[in-house]
Amino acid sequence: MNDQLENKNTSPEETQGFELIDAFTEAKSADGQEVSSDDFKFVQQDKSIHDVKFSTKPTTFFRDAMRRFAKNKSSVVGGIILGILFILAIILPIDGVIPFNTTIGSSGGEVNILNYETNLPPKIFDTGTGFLDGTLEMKNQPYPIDNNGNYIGLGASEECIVGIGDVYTGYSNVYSSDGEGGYATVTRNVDSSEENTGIGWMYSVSYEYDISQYDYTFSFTLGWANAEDYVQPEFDVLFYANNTYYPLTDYSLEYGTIGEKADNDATVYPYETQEVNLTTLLKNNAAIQEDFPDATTITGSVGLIFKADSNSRTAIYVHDATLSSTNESSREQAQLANRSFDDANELVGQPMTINNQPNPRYWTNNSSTQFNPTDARTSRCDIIYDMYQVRYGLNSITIAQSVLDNWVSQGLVEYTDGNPASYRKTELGEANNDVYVESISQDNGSTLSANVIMWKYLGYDHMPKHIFGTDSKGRDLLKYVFSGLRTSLLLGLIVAAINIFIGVIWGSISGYFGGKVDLIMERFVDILAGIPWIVLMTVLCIKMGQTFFVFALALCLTGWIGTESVTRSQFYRYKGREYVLASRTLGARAPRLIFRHILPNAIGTIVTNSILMVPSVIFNEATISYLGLGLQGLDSLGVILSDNQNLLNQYPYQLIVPAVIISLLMICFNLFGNGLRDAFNPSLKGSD
Amino acid sequence: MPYLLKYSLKRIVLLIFTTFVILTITFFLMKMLPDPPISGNNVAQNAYCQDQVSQGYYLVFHTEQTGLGSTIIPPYTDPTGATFFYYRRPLIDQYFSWLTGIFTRWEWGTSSVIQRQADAIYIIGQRLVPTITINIFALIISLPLGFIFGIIAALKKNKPTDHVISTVVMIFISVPSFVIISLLMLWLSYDTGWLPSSWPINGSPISAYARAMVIPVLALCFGTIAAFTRYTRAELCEVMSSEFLLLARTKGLTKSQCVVRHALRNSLVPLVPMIIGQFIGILGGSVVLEQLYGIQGIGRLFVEAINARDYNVLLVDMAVFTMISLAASLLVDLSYGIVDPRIRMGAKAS
Repeated sequence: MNDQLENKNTSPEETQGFELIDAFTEAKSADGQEVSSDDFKFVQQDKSIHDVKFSTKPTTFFRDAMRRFAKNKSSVVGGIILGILFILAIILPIDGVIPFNTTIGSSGGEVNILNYETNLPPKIFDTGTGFLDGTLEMKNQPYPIDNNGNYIGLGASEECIVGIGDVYTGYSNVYSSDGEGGYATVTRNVDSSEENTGIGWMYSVSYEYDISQYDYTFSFTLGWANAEDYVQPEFDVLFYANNTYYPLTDYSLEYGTIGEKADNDATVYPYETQEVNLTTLLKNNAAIQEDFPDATTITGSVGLIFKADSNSRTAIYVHDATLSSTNESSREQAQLANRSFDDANELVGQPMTINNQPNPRYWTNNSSTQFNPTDARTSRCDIIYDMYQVRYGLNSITIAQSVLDNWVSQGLVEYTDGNPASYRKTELGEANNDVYVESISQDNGSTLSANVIMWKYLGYDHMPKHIFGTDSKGRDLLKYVFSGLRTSLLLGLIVAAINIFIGVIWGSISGYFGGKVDLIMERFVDILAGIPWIVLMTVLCIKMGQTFFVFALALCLTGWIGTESVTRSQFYRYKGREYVLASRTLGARAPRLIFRHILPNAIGTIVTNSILMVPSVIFNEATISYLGLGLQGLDSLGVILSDNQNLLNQYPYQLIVPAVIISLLMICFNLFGNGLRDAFNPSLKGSD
Repeated sequence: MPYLLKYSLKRIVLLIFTTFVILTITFFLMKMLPDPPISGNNVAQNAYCQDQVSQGYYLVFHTEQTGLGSTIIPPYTDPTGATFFYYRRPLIDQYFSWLTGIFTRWEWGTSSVIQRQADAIYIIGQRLVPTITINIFALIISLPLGFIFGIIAALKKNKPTDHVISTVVMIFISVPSFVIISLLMLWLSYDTGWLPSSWPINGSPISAYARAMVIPVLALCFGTIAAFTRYTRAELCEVMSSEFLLLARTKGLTKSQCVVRHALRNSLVPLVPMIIGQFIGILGGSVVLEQLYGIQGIGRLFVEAINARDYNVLLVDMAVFTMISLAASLLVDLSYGIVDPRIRMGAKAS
């Protein structure tokens, strides 16, 4: 001990001198010649020699790892994105996910927010830019037009419609509410069970015809499709009274001149319009005169009847049928107009009764309930709606009288000329831009409805802009998804922390003590690892409910095994090292050896492990949500994803947004974690 | 070989024991929950209860009993005038009759909800077919592709090709399979209408099944290909930098000769266990897939059984899952020893 100390205290010069003398003696004896002491020079005699300070800075293990990590660009980017996601998950949902109550009462009328704020498409750019602009293209919409060819559908105001795509016009042989025109078609098949061998008919609702005073005219336009193996039947004007059919002209009517089809795609060729004088025919018909002798009025139905031989398929196509009278009375004109039609598609759609009253516009036919139109023209188009304008723009709501009184007392609206039947806005409120009432109307003196600008009415400062849209419950998807992310991350971090804690302790004990302790502890781990986590989780969730605590518990039960095995192998590697032995010789006990000497060697692996555990926990939680056992009461990313899965076809963005976020999270966690692993243990680089 | 045999036997015994422990735990946890409501009229309910009695889960008496809790269904009187009171047996008795059924008659019970009174084993057998088919197809497709991409990446290490492949692999490893299948469904069936958006109903023609198979198989493939690629690349990279390959080059072999004759063979050896492990991995991953795509496989059956509280089916399903994953880990360990005799699993470290 003393020698060492003395040696340490001797100056460098002294040591050099001592060695030199020694060398001098040896040199002499080896050569056998005398060497003058002048030949020897002290090297660097003029310099003072001492320890040179390191020019490089000392580094620690962690600093070194950080330096290596920073070189890995993709991992750094992953880490930064991860940080941004973390911050967003904390900041965005901070003021709650649902901004308002679902119904607005107080000053406004009751309105269900769900009708206005749900399923809005994402809007990042201004309307009309065509991409993420809050518009929704509704495909194959009816395309009703007025006489000038302007779109008049759905009552949507003009500013709601961004554009109308191509209009497809086609001809349909089935009734549709938006079809138009065509031919009412009465068919009869060969295998028809109709008796009377091959007749078919259609007739209007009965009417009392005053044949003594007025001339009634029945005019109709027929057509012919010339369909395959159909034969053209003989036809006649039919009068149907007292359950008897009276063909008025004995099938002597001719078809006349055939015209051109309406369109190339159409199938029916029209004949010229025919006109018969009903009064004359009724008066001259022998059968009618026999059944209704000297009648001044006859009650019955006018229609058309056709016949062919019983083995032929046949049909009759009626484009329009009009009854008119020389009687100018408005009642008669209206009654006859009801029994006429010029839109076959509309005619076909008429129900037999309306509110249990016979429908005067209904025509009976031999297929008894429904006959098909032929060549009904349907126009369809793709309409692009500005959904934000539709929902947040001018909307009509029903209000109670008390609400109106409230508005009046607030000065939002006032009676015009003191007349309670008419209202107008105050100029003042409009100037302040806080008046949401556009107009109020009252129908039948009972229901009050107000046209309000919805976004003002709902209490927004300006028209809202949901950059990810809203979901089916009216929640802003951006806030909602990030609140889900917050839940998922919280679960992931807590579970990872617990897993690391248990895993490290279990692995340390198992690895440090080895032998029997290790054997028993490892068998326990084996059995636990053998249970599929999905089974374990399912059982726990069913048994204990789907709460945050149960999820954390279930994910912890088997989650720590990975950390445990890593820690254990690290202990096996380091516990036999000399420095550990030395420490033990000096009297260190097990806890000190474990936590101060061996465990720090494994710290890099453990950190990496814990980072990579978070995404796997989030993934497992999402998987269990897909099995219908998701968290209840708290919406995690997995719950959002599985809830929105059904909307994939209808509102794909509602699934894509959380899917992109969870994918981004997974990618970033993996990049970050792999970067950390490479940094802590460069020999593992690129192994996966 | 005696060593391997001994080791295998040891593992198999452990496997059966573990399965047994898991199923026992599950049985008790499940049976502690209330039974599902019994549907149907009282005749059907009586038939169901009779069945449960014969399986040893319920007790039946002709008079009302005390001390057994309330009756499961209201007392049923049959046409002969006999009245039946059904009670639930104590849990431990149920457990032993369940065990007896399995060990003496290999009866795993009958389904109570999903296919009323059908044998649970029969239901599983039916549902196993689509699951296995899809997984095997996914494996057949992803195996060669994964190897090819992995080899390309390893040979072009640190070149743009490698970077592109590694980035794509990174993405597909990270993106969850349910996200992939959702996007595939959106693109291939809803947007373009090329493929059906769900599994066809039973009895559809083969072509319908073939078309429906595309999306789930693709969804499984992406992740598997990525895993194989990454593994192959890592293995091959390691072998490429080993000394025997340097020697081969020094002897005068061309680079391609080196790769084909030496590197590739050696790198493929550790991949065999990987294939088995991956197969089990995708089998597990297909639970969600089956749920999303409506495939009538065992994964979906699992979810159905949970939701319907059909305990017998659930227990058999769990047994299948547990056995498969445990058997796979055994196979993986054994295959290590077979493909590389230097590795002796379970041997004491010298």
